[in-house]
Amino acid sequence: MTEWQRVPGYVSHRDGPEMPTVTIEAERIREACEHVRDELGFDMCVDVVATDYLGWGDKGVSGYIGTASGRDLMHPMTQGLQALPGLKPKRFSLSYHLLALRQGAPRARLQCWVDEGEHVPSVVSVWPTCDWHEREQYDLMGIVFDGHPNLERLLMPDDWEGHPLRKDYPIGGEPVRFSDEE
Amino acid sequence: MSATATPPTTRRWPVVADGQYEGSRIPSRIPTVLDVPADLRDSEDVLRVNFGPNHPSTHGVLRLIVDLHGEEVVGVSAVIGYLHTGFEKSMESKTYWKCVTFPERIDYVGYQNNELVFVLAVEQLLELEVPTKANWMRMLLCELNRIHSHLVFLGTSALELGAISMFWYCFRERETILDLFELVTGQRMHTRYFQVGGLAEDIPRGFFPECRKFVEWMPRALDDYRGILDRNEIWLERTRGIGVLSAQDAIALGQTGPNLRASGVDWDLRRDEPYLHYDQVDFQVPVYPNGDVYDRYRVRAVDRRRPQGRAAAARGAPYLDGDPHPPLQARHRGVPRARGRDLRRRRVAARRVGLLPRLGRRAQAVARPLPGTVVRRARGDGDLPGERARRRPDRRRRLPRRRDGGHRPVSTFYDEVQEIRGRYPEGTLSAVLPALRLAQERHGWLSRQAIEETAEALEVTPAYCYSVASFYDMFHLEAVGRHTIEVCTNVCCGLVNAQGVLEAFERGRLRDTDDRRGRPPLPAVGDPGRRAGDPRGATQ
Repeated sequence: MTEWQRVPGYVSHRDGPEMPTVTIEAERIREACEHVRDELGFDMCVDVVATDYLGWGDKGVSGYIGTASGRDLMHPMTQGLQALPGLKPKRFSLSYHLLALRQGAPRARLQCWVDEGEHVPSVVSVWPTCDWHEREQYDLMGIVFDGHPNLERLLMPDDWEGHPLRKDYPIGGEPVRFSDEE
Repeated sequence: MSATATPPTTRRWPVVADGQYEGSRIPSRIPTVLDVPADLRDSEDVLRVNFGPNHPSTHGVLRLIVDLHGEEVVGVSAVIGYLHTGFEKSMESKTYWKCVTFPERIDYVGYQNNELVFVLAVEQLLELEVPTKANWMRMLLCELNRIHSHLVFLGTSALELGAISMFWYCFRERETILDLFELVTGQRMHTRYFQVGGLAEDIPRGFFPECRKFVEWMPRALDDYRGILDRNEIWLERTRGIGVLSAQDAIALGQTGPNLRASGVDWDLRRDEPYLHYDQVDFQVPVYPNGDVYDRYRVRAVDRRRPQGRAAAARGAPYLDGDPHPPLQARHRGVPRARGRDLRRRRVAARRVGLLPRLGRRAQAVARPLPGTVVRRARGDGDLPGERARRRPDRRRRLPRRRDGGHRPVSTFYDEVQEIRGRYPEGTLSAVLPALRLAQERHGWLSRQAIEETAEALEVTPAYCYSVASFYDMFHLEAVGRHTIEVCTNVCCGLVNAQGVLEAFERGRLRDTDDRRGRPPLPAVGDPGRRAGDPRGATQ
């Protein structure tokens, strides 16, 4: 049993080249954050990042490590057909990048998955710095954080419609002010 | 400077220092908003004022909504996003190759550090190994960029606290750094010099002597700054004990870098999580305990005092200076050299992410250290610019080198003018100057016939060509010798007997070996003293 399995809401974890990724149930993310801060010493939250996986897995890709026939170039002697990427549990992933200011500077990524319309508990009470991080994710990705004291748009104007970093938000699709097309 | 890699000493774990105040100063309800106190909330004396985004000291990027009670600020909240331009969204639709230009523009005083981060990330994705020389050079440039960034901080913040002279001193050194960048990359800002897999071009000759000069000079410049600021009552009054942030609060608010170190947290990414070759450089990390503006200034000032840049230069010298030959990156752009199968693997891998043109149509993208000039060419398919050629003017020739390096078939004057015209938008007269220069190069001077020939090739009237040629002193409308000697007679040169030099020429006592005719006096460009005293300096 690793230290990660004691984290509340633990689902799975995977060791990456730069830091481990620990998947947590979305409803229990605040408890999990409190646990890793107090028990495991991750005293700094570096970033909160949401990623939109809309359309992921619809199209076969061989990825940058593959050929058109599906051979994995990083693993010689493999052969196969072009593969569909593994499906993600839900549309959005939400990652909390954590850093412990101690010997060895360990980092960790807590991750949870949400679909559109699902809410996530806010962790502002755990790390005050998450105030603006969560507002940014709400603004650009449209993820709603329950219990956030001041969930408003951070970067876009207050009257903006839509969430620009979503994959279904077109680039260049916004009206240009003071142009004839408006 | 120690020549061997020594582990950093005097390390304190845990990192937290003495607190400057009890408890936390982070507002409780909303961490980033200071609410008006309850007893004042309904008071009519509280005035809400908008500060920015167009206030001169917020530079158009920050708006503060301030609640004033008399002259006291009792509530404040920040509105940001005025400079948000959606780089992340733009980058989604570009190949990794093209994305390199975006991160630099996110921070226009720390462009190389930002570029580095993105490039390192892509290299990690591609599992690329970068040549040692490139890594040392990246480190050197990043440290210069850091000094540049701190200079902008110090100059502008002192400016806004009323010390305008600091601004000029800081920008004097900043200018030198920008010159160094220009020397290496051709650009002063947003250099786009780091490349996935290495550097865009080899390091030009002459960079290291210039860089050393700067590194030697910088500590003395710093003494200047500290002489101005350290005992300046206004500066001290406005920075000491202002904007205090305790270590615990700084960590909770996710502060990094110098701000963290000014709050007494002994933390430096370069030492504690080294990237590039920072683990091979011995340097000290300045930490100050007070957490006020003054300490944030001191951290940066001492940061520059501790010569990381010099350390990097010294340690990297064998990799950078000694061996001019190792390629900065392999033949195929974006991918370092590897052997045999490995190379092919990586090349294909890189193409997949848009780093390379298609294999069938590839051409060289080589950073090749030639004397005085670096030529890089690449030809790609529709996704990349059709042809990309970059050249540095050779110091010995004023005229731009031709793309083919001078080995061109003999062509007529008319054809060459057409080629010149092709470089400029149609319907403009931009080609007149280069065409006239070409004509002069061919004939030695601009005779009536030469001007008519040029006008015919350009499809303009000879009178127009004549009017242009007669405006500039560099065009000779009468026969001249092979070398032209210009004598500057402005005030500075006049003081050192320019008139005498001119008269000596006119009397024929000083003469070139060629037959020559007199030229009217001409003001010197840039360096009057040298030109007047030394006629050789004035040849063109």
